[in-house]
Amino acid sequence: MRPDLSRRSFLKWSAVVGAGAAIGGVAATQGGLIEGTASAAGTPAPVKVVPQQCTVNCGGYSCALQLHVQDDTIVRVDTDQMDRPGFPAMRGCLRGRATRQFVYNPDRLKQPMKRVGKRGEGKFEPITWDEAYTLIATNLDRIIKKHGNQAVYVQYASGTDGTTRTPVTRLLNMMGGYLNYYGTYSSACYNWAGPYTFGKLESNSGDDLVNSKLVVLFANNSAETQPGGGNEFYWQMQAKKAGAKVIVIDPRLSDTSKALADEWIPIRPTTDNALMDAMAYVMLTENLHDQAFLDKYTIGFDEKTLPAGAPANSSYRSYVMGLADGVKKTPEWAEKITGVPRNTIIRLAREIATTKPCALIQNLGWQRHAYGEQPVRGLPVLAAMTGNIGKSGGGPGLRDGRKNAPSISLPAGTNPVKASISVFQWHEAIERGTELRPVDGLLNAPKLDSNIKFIWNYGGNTLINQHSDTGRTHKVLADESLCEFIVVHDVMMTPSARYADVLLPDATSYERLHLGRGSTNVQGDRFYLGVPAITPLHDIKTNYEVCSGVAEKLGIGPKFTEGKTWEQWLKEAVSGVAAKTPGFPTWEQMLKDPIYRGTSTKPVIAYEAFIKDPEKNKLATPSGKIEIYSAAIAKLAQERGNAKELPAIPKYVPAWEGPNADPALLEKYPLQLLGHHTKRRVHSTHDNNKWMEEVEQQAITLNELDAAERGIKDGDMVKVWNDRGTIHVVCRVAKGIMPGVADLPQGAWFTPNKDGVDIRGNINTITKYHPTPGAKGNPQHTNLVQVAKL
Amino acid sequence: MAKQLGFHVDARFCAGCKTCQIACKDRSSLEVGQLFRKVVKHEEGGWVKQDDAWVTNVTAYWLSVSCNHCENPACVKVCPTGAMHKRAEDGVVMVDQSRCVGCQSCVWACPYDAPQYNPDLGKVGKCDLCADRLAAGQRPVCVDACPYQLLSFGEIDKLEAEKGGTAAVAGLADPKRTQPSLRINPPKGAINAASGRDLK
Amino acid sequence: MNMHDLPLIIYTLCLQSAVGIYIVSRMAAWTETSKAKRMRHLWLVGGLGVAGVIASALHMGYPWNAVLTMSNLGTSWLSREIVLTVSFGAAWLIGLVFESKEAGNVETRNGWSVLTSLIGFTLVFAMSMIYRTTAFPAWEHASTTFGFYATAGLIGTAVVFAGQLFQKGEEEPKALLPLLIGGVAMLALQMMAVASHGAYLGTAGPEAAETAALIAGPYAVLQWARVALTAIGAAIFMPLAWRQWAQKKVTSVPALAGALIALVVLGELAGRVLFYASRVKIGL
Ligand code: SF4
Ligand code: SF4
Ligand code: SF4
Repeated sequence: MRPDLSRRSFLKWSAVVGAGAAIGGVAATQGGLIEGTASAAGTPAPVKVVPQQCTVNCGGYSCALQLHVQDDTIVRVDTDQMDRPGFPAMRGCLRGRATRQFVYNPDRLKQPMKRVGKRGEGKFEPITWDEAYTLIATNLDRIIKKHGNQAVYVQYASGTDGTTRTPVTRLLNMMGGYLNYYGTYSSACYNWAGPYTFGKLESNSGDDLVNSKLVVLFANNSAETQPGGGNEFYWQMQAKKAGAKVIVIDPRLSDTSKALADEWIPIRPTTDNALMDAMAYVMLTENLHDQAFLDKYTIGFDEKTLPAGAPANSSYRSYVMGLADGVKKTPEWAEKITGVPRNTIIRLAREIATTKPCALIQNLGWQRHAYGEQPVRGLPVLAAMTGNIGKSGGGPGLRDGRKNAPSISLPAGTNPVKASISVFQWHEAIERGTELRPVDGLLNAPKLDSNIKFIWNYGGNTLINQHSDTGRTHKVLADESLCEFIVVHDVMMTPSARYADVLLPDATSYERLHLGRGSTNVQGDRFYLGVPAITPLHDIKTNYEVCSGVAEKLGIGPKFTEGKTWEQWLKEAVSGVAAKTPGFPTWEQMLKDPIYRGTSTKPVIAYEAFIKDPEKNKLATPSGKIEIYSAAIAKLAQERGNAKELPAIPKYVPAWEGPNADPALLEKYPLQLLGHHTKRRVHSTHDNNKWMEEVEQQAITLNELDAAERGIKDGDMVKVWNDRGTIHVVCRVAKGIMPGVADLPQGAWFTPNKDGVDIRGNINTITKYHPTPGAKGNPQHTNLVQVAKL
Repeated sequence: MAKQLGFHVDARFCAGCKTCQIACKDRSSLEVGQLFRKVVKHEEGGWVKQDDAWVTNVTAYWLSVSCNHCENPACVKVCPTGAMHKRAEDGVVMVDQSRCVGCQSCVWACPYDAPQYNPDLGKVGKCDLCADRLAAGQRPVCVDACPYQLLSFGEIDKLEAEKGGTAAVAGLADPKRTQPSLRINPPKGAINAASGRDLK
Repeated sequence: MNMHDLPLIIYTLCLQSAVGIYIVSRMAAWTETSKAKRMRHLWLVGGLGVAGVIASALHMGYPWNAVLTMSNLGTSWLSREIVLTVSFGAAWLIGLVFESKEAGNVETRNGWSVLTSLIGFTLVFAMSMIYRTTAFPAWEHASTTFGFYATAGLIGTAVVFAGQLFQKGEEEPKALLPLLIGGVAMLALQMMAVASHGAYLGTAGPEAAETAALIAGPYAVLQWARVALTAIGAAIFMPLAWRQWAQKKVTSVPALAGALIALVVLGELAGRVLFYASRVKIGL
């Protein structure tokens, strides 16, 4: 037995042997290798194995990592091996496994610095922590005094886990608050639009997929977004193994479709609603739909179930049959828009309508477009028409499922400022915050008293990299008279870090104590405690230390810390949840086994109670039913004066940069550009990881026909451009992408050369700042471009 | 026949996530350019425009391949120093770097691109089936890494009996060349179309 | 061209030339008795051999283990090649000593030359087998062996033929005729090798087809250069030089002789660069 393995971990290994059946008989085929030779010591042993987690924001559940640490250095990364009922081993994906290239990356920030050059130039000089705290405190104080608390903004960021970032909001709340935002860059339209249909969003949990006969994935590429074991893809695979047919609708032959699709249906980006409308047309004309279900559980599908006050012919059926606009939403109509052959549409509609149960599942890609509110509400209509809602093996047509679990948080206090802008609108709030009004999406206030003057950017790269139109963002940020002070606290010298006035080095999650919750959109909610595996590198400080330091300078040190260490805060948080949740571990237990898994192994069926008894268990919508027609949207659209863009029923609304855009624009920029989430990064995290560049070089992908037309060969350098910017990047020529569509995976680090051309392949160089009409969300998959050989 | 260890890959569901590739790099601390296990894409088919629509029969799949610890290893045959050798007790093919002269004959001979030249050492490195982990009673790191548990290892005959599979897969060399200890449950359309010269 | 292949290009060309020049020069000197005539070309052979071996050492990543390279004679053609290279070198050196000391009689020395030639002949075979046991379908064919022999033969006859021409006034034109015929024959062998390789590529799977496409496409200029230069050298300049010689137009002969060597060597160089550059590996 290896000296480093305690008796407990030896037992764990025995458990691995025991789990052989679950791991597909691996152990059985090894001829007793694990137990038989376990006493024969191998290579020099690592000193200790530290259980930790991957905490990047993939939206998955923070896979388990086991860090082998020798001489205070992580020397190898292992992962979870234990399958438990309902919880397959949480094996980390390539990104989690490449942790060493992240922790020991040359781009790590090493000491506090202040800006010396022009903002965005990236020129800094070292300062002491004390100087840093003073600079932040005096500027914060000055700006709040001069402009009020609405001038302070905490930038949206997702580079670290949730509880780690609470100190910033706690500190600012004590200072009188900060301007709120609503929504996220990932799911603005989803979280905005979905509730108009369902009230509260639910989904069948992943483990229910095995009960499906047919799984149809729309804009869902779980294999790349959350590759870790036990995440969504794992359950999709189980469904396929259990005999379900899988159909994937996606402009790209994604890795999910490569692995699972019995059929791949390529579709032009931004046109999914046309496909769904035409399928509805087929179902209606062939009488394949479940009228009884629609009558009982929904409003607004038919004229007769429209809410009072809705105009005539405003039901979904009337729209599909062309009663309002004179255009029948036939497969021929949709073929022109979507590029999907009419026969495929007819076949797909019939298959979906007649295969029971059928799971229609969306993911977030398609709602990051000009009218992203529409597909989110569109797919549930098909789920309702086919009576799949509330059924095992079916589902409401939303995202993949979750199981509810208690949430864990640290006391941040309450924000005295109530005004809230959309997450996407901050740079407009820097330029003209005081002009923003509710029609622009401002919530909880008739207007703002100040533009944004102070930004705290902790653990995120949205300040320039992940926000639309980097050229415009740069101009706004570079003007020091607009936003007067920017704090960036992060682990790497990211593009956003270049815009800091004070730039602070943070610890990675492997170097600090943290508490988090695996993302809740997957099967098997879980909490984790991360204990530092190594001494923090360089002269770095955690967010709690920084906020305590600034609080001290502001004279509210004791109030902020209450005399507690970070560890004490986390202990309290854990005991708080444990008190309310039977079976939740104590702090001491978590130190031993830092991962708490939920206990339910029973699949969740979304809206099951409502379907059983819709009178007793009303939905949280105004009507208590599934609102295919939303009077609330109709009212809002009327106020905003954009009813065409924000219809009360889900419709195909042609995108301003899509296949039905202005012909002159299409002539100039004939390719639709997507920026899919690639497996080699999580947003912008890991872009500077050399092992990941080897996994997949940052490149634009063109269909072989489009490439041939432009004389581009695989591996050529190309220029990608539109009116907003230009990118120089390598071109991959592939078969697995629809002609007319190009793909430049999002998240590459914005790297402008002296002419302002991005030479890394950051898609936001050419994306547009144009908020969606409802959620005021980001439409980053809505781009027309041209590509030429360099 | 003596015991022969090898790999089984259930490529039907491989998502090409390359976790196995990265876990392997991490275990051996490999520089960029050296891959003891790699995941390769195979694409075929085409596109036809029909009225306003696109009709396609494009399919693609991923294959995860390392050294296959071949029963008839081309690398061992060509190695002039005997550095590349096949371990008697379990058929693992390994390179004894103390003997390697860096001539890269094995690199040229292996139809699976398994031996990887390390320019810093001037020598070749290769998958050794995680010999240290085997000795410590663990599975190879790639097998333990695949998030979807699609990789297995063990005695090749038993693996085949239990899980089936073939090494004659489009995108890989004709197994008659080296008799790889590799069994793949191939994705649709990938069977029996091995590339490379047909060695009858 | 891949710079990593350069040592191998130099090694194979030098050693094949050395073997070719050795064998042809021994044939030419078979009946000679004068020391000067028998010694002719021997130093060149040695020089080429040494240059080749130095180049080959550059190809090894860790030459300090070079002594171990002869330990797998059972299956490794590289091991065999190295042993044969060393043997050829040793045999050449002994032969050189014999000739310079005029040890023994001419028959004995001719006998030693035959032995040395056999070693050289086998060496070229071993060299070709190294390439025929790789995972590059383009190389896995008998034309690799024939091509290497043709290279040795062509450079050998061209160099010896031209060398004899430089020795003004000594040779009867008639005595040079076998070399002329030999040169053209070797050219024919090379062209046969090229043709059969081309035919083979079409039948040997997708990687070989890719090689064919490379030869027909981006590397076509190399292929044409090798065919044209060797053909002009061996089939035009060699007969031309011989005719000038026979007609005693002595003044133009050295230039022609030099040109024909240059043409043949450049042609073979182009062929060898192409050989390496157009390889495509099986699989991954
Ligand atoms: S799936 Fe997500 S959490 Fe898991 S290792 Fe990968 S990136 Fe990390
Ligand atoms: S896969 Fe290649 S390196 Fe491995 S044993 Fe076979 S021939 Fe040798
Ligand atoms: S880890 Fe598994 S799914 Fe991922 S590439 Fe390797 S074999 Fe395929």
